Amino acid sequence: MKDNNQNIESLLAEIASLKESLYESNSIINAIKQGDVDALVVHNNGVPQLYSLETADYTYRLLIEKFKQGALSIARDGLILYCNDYFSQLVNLPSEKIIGTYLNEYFDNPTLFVQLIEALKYGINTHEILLKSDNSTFPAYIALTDLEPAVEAIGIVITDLTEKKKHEETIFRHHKELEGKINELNSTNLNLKEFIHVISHDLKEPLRKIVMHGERIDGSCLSEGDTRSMNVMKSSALRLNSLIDDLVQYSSHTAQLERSEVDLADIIHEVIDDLEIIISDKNAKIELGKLPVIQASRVQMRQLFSNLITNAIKYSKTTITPLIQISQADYLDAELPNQNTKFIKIQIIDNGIGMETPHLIKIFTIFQRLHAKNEYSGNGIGLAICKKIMENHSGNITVESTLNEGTTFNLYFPIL
Amino acid sequence: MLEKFNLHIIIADDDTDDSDLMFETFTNNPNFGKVSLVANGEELLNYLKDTSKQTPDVILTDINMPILDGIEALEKILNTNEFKNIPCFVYSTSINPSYKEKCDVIGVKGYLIKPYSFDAFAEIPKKILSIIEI
Repeated sequence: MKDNNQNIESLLAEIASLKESLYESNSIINAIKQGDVDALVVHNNGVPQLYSLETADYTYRLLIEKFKQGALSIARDGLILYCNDYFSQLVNLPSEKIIGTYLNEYFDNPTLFVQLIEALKYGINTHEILLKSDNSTFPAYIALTDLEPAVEAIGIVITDLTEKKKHEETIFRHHKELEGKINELNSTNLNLKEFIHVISHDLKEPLRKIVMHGERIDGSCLSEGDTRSMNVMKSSALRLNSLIDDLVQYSSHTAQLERSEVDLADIIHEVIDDLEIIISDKNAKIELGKLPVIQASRVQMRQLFSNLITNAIKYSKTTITPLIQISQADYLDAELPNQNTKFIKIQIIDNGIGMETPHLIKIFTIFQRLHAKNEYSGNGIGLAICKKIMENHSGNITVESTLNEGTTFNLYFPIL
Repeated sequence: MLEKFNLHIIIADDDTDDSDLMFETFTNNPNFGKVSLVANGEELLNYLKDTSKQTPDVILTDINMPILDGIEALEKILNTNEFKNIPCFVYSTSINPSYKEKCDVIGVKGYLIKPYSFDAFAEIPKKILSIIEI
């Protein structure tokens, strides 16, 4: 009987403790159901262990916990209710030492906090601020999100801007350096241009006197040999003068040009009018095909086509009528490798004396002439100017030629 | 409007070959009665300021000269009320676009190129006269 009573008592006690456990569990479940519980601390043999709830929110919780930006929730007065790992790394303190302190303690200028909260009322919720970490400070981006009325707290995300600032400073420095270089280059260019004018002026002054006084010399009392020498000197002086003029012209075609809409057909008609004398002298025919309107420097386009047409007429055959065809090629070309830009291709085709392939690369180089001076006139600057003009327009000029059959110049203008 | 007659021209040029030739050319032109020569911009200014000297009707100056160049001198002259109505001309061996621009700004009447022949030199006085006429 006594045994039975004892059994009943222990069973009742067990029931009571089970009831209590059940009640506890039920309250926990209710609390969880109502969203009042974020995590559970369970004592296992006196060691507390934290269990988060693996609900649908778990992913978000983990995200906040682990992502590489500081995340906090604070009360309206700045009291830190929660902070994630990354924030504690940023300020170099364990999170338990952070929670319960005030956010403005981590500001380089603690009074800013009031302003941030004020600004939040007006919907301004992001700022760049300086945060303290140990004895140093670092720039950071702070974003505040008012979680009311759902939760009485403000959510805060803090992004460390140290690296970004470093990059910005590097970029800024590079930019400054580049600006400096550009200014240097511009002034070098200007100096060079000025230098060329001064040099050309100084060279031409004595030259002008040589030419002028050479003309004045009475040739009637000179011997035949002296007359010949005199003539060589005169023509050499004139040639030197025209070389200087060409050089100045070459140097004056710079990339800093005024672009406008240029109808190439108009330009070429103007050039043909200018060259009327040499065209009719050689009885040359010029045929124009389809030609585009492009963005270019009018002056330089005139010079370009003037040089190319002059060149084609100069190196024409005496046996047949010189024919020069100028037109836009129908297809956009793939001949320019490694170029992403699309080009308009314009061809100038003549039926002149042509050139041998090995000579082709030289013809755009200044002062390169393939023919003896007295055979064809010119200083060898014309095509160098053409090349420079095309480069000024971010384009290119190429040449194809067959000896005794003719030459084709290809102009490539980028489509802007 | 100037009387196209008995004009007094002052020429500033440091190159005596050219200034001698200019002196000869202008002296031979019936419209010019007096030709004065100076060797640089400073001498030109001093000549104008010198009250004992008759103020010239026309100024012609080279550009590149020592001490004070032609454009600097003309800039000062054309900024002086007393002289700003004197027609001023520049002549030089070559046209430097930046000089040309400067001349246009300060109100130079003409920018002439030193010619390559004696015949063309004789045209300079005529050219100046035709511009003054306008």
